[in-house]
Amino acid sequence: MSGQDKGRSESDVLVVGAGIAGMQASLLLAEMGFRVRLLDRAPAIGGFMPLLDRTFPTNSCGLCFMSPTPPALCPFIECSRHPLIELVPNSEIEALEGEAGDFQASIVHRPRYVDVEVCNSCGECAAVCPVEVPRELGGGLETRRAIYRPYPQAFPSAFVIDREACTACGECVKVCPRGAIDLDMPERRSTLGVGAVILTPGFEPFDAGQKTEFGYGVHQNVLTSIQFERMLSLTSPSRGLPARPSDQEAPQRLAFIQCVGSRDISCDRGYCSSICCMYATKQAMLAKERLPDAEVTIFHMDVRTFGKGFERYYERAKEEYAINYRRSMISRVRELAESKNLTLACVDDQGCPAEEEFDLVVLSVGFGPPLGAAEMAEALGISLNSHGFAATVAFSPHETDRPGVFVAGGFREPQDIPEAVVEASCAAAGAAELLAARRVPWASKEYPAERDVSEEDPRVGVFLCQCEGNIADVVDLPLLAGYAVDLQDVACVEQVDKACELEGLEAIKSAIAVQELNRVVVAGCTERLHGDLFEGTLRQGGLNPCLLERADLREGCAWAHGDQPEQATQKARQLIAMAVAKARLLTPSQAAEAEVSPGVLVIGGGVAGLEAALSLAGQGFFVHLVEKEKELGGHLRHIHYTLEGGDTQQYLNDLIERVGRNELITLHLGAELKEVTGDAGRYTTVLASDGDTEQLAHGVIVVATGGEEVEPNEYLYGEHPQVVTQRELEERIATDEGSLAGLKNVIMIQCVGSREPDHPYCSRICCSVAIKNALRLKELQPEANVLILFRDMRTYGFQEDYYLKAREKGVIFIRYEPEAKPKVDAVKDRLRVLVHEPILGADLTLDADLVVLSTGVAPRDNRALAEMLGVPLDEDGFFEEANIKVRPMDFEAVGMYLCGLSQGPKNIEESIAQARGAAARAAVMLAKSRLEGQPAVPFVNPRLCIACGRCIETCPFGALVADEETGITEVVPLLCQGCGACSVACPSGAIQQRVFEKTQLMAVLDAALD
Amino acid sequence: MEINGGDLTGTLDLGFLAQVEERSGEDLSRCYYCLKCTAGCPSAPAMPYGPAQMVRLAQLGLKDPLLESPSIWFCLHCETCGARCPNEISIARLTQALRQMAMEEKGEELKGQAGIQALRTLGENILTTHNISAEDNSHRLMWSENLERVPEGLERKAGAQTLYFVGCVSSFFPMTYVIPQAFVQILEEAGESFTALGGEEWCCGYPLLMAGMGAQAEETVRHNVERVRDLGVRRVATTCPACYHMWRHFYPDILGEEVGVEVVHSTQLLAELLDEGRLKLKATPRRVTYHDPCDLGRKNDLYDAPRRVLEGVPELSLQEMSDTRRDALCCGGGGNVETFNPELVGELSERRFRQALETEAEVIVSACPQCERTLTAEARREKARVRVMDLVEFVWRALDTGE
Repeated sequence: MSGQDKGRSESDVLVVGAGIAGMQASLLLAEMGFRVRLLDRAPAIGGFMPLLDRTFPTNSCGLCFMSPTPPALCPFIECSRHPLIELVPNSEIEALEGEAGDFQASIVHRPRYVDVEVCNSCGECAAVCPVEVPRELGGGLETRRAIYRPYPQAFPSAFVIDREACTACGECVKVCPRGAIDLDMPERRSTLGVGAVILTPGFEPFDAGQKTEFGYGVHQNVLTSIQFERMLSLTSPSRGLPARPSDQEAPQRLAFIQCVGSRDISCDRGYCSSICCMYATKQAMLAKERLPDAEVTIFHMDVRTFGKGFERYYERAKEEYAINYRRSMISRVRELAESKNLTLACVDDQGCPAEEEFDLVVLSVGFGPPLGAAEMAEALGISLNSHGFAATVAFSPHETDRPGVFVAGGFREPQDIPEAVVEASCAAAGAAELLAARRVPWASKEYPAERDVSEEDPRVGVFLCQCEGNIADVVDLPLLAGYAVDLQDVACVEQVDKACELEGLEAIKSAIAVQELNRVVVAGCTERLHGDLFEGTLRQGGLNPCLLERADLREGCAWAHGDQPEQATQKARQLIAMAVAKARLLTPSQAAEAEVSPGVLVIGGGVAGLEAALSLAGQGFFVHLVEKEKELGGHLRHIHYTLEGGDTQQYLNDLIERVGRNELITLHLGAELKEVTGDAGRYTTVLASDGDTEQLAHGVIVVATGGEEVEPNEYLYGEHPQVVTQRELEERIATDEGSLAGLKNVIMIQCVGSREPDHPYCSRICCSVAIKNALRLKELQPEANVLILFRDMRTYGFQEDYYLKAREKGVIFIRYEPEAKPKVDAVKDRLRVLVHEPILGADLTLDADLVVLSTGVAPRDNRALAEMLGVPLDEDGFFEEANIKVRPMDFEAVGMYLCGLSQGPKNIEESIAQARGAAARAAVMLAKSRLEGQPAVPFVNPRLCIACGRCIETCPFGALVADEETGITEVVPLLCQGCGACSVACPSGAIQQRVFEKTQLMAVLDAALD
Repeated sequence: MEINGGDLTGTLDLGFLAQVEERSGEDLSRCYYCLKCTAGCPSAPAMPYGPAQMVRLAQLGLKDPLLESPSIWFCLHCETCGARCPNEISIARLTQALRQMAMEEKGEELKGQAGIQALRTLGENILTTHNISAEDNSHRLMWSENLERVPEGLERKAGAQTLYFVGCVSSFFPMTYVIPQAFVQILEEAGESFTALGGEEWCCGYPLLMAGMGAQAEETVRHNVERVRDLGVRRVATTCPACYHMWRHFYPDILGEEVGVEVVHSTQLLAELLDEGRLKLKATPRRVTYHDPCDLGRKNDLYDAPRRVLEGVPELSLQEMSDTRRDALCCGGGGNVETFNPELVGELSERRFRQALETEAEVIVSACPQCERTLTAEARREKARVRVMDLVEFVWRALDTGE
């Protein structure tokens, strides 16, 4: 944990809260070259992330993809090891003096009672601790001791004492072999000078016990979704199988109750928590996968699957998983005395009261602001909104009302992981703009010249790490040392106490010199850890870093088989044999390097493009902003006001004005891309405008080409003048109010061109647009009847406030099902709407003098651009991001980013956040000014290559191209991320990857089977 | 806008909704039709239009089908809907207003219905005789005649601390005489200075509200308040939760001003006397369960006082029913539903009684004369060996008078 700037009482950015958003913001800023302190109240970083085993909508564990520098590592590890990030656990911010650029933060450090630097997590303390309390992770489903580690992978990885539970019996102090425990450790205070603060303290799940009718805490088989999430984790006591707490039996009938502590003003939770519909769907699917015979029912009022890919996920849950979605809230959960089964008071399909029996009930709890939010707001001098979340400035979703204090994630509004990643990136961009002058340029370290080992016979040094007993206590290292010495080409075997500490590294370095080693095997922890330390040591010793091989004796042997030392030793022996066999055959490989061209190309001059350009320019990078029309503004030109009442035209004019006078931004209006050539970091783009062409050089590309409104082809649109779209209505409200005078009956129809076979996705914004315009109509004409015919109202987050307001103002909402869509007839000049009203079960015929269609958002025709850039489109025609969960602003290809409607439907503030987030992602690459590839690149044997092109198709990074004449594959080393997919795809064995060459892998297999 | 839906025809007229909202004080337009009210309503299975449907009819201005529907008379006013509604809408308050509107506007159409007729008679009785039983109101203290010793100053003693507002049920139903009898003896034992209005006590007026005749309640309300003010008491104590609820919430509404005296329920008063050490209770090694009356619990959040009293009885074992406190089931006795649908009331009291039996309690303690009547009737039907007793009676029997 030693970094170049550790120990100072000043830093560039203080990030408060180390969950997903906090880690993302910290990593981005650190990668840009800012010094970051990452503070958390908890003893370990991670927030809620360790709870999640799988994430929607892919049901994969995708979190490790979250990284500013692919190939991705785990954000925990990256945050814990980044030289510019210092973790500050067990701490809270108490006061913030000063102003943006020059804050003094007062921090209180709660005692941990265990010295992080001394504790080696041996766990003997917990083994003797007599106190057992519910474990926080997973909502108390399991227990832990008063001295504990929050979870096995926690960083910092030391133990911590919960003094509220601790009886101070002193047993742990007695057994701790390193004297790491101090029960009298005092609370400390410090002052930290920082330029900016980013608040990412997360959220707090609703206390389900408040809704007594659901029986949580009374009936054993009623769980919260937090507990069920834990139960579904493969690391839970039931190993991912749902089990009833009363008897550990697998439930055959499982019910979810939605909106527990959401959309409920009776418990001060009037807003929608946004993610519960999706997480319940995920949990239902996982439960069904593991218990295929179980019947799973989700009781809800609206299914809010509004995000990218979510509607298909919901359809899959219904069609493929037979999850039963029931539109009924539950009035009461009762327990049957004998079976401990539960009966739910609901309504049946006819709307009549019914009771249904289930074996297990999961309450989908909503999310509130983090505990202590009010105190924190006061300490920091920022305002909260009416729900107790951080209030932000209009059109600046990342700015609190105190300049220099930014916010992101669940503390701003309940949200899903992609939104948290986007907002955190946006906040990072805000801080980076503020502190642009303080960014430290990246400097690479100097190493001695590499020794040429090509003519030498292999001399392998094997270093066995004891890991202070972590390994040595289980695995018989002396036995292994004796074994390794006899392996082919092994020149020396040494045991070291801790290979990753200075002493151990020095031992390796000196052995390289003394023993004239030319290959090194480190047998210790997983290769996920400390790779750069050992590689650096080889480089210091004059060896190419590719001459290093690792054998995992800790995670893979000592920890996995701690109770079977003999088998663990046996496995370790095989792993060492395999590592040595491979090491003998390793050859040097150089990582490609290139200068990054300093500029950015932003494609699209709508709100996303403008914001991205301004943010990048604000960070000191120059920008080419290309817009194919003669005018800036894109889709936003047609939007006049927001749901919250913001003046979009004023905002847009201000944005355009700021872009116009920014010296770092070059505008290219009426211009189109003709050609993009080059690779990541070094692009050349040809632009055409008014017959002229122009050539631009730039390092990165941001795609912000926007979207468009779906053209309706039903409900008499285009046939009857009184059938209009929301956009047309908004135009009239804003510019021709008089034309609306005398309107008596207005009927709006939702999901026109959304959730339909042609456009199977949800357009996300139409519900709030309809409510926005309905409220305006009610303001202009309070006597007018306004009816909204909808399928599910998807006013997620705080938009729910406006749904409530619209109802209170007398807007009437009538649900329709896709099987019985409304019908619009023209009777002379009047319109008649037929709709089935489900509450009364009546078919209603309604008069209307205006029918307004809430049309969806469609992608533009992006095919030509996608082909030119070599990036994919998704099945709906929007641009496809690298990973929907954790990399929503990146293309898979290095150096290209995306934002706004071009990626999928979103509202203005979401577009702004994503645009600024993409700017932060782009800035990481630009700030480094030099792009470094990785050494495990493929190489092609041209004699074997049959020019079939399969490897080129397979490569997700565009790192392979065909030679124009011969068709033989060529490698672009900078773009290669070392995934190895090409060598798998090659039918002739022509393409192989360095460090994973065929001969090396065969040798490993031979050694394994020997 | 014309609405034509088969049987349901009308003009979309937001004016009707506004009228209903004003009369009920409920913001019905907030409803998003989650159906939780219908799912939990004990009467819903018997209602032609369930709770959420009534809201929809009001919202769409479908006045005739709503006001003519028996649904509005089947509401028990148990407030399960209101306690759980995420939009804080009480269907009980809605039906209370709809009953008034139906009586006012649909008098002729509804005339033929036996239930309506019975309610009318009840209302007229209250207005003329000032009690629900059409008895001679001067016999209000009949229950005291069986006492070994009638407390001094029982009738309108000026300057007393506490006025005991007995209520019609305890005054005129011999089955519940034991409640006032026990209560006054406890007050005496505690040395509390108290009195009652005797023949000057008129019906509290709550049954008029339930009968859709709330507009005529003002006279009886004013009468009671003036008599109480005349005596200069510090507080009014009731043993009937409906009287308590009426005094606390509807009296200020109807008067347009605060009543000006504290209103307490016997359960609160008992808890207070015990806390102050003014009552001593002897060991009573019995297993009891407590039934929360709707008017006391959900409507007034009075859950702890009665339990504190029971927990103060030495050696008593209190067993909660599975549906308790905010989630307690209605005994079926509320809202005058008996008049319209006695079968429904029977089903509901049976359901509640079975929950009580599951606790294996020897005594079902409640704190409401109406609950006591309903549950006692059920106990008799079931021939169960369990006593139903008001908390007041229970405490009286447990009094350690040092004798």
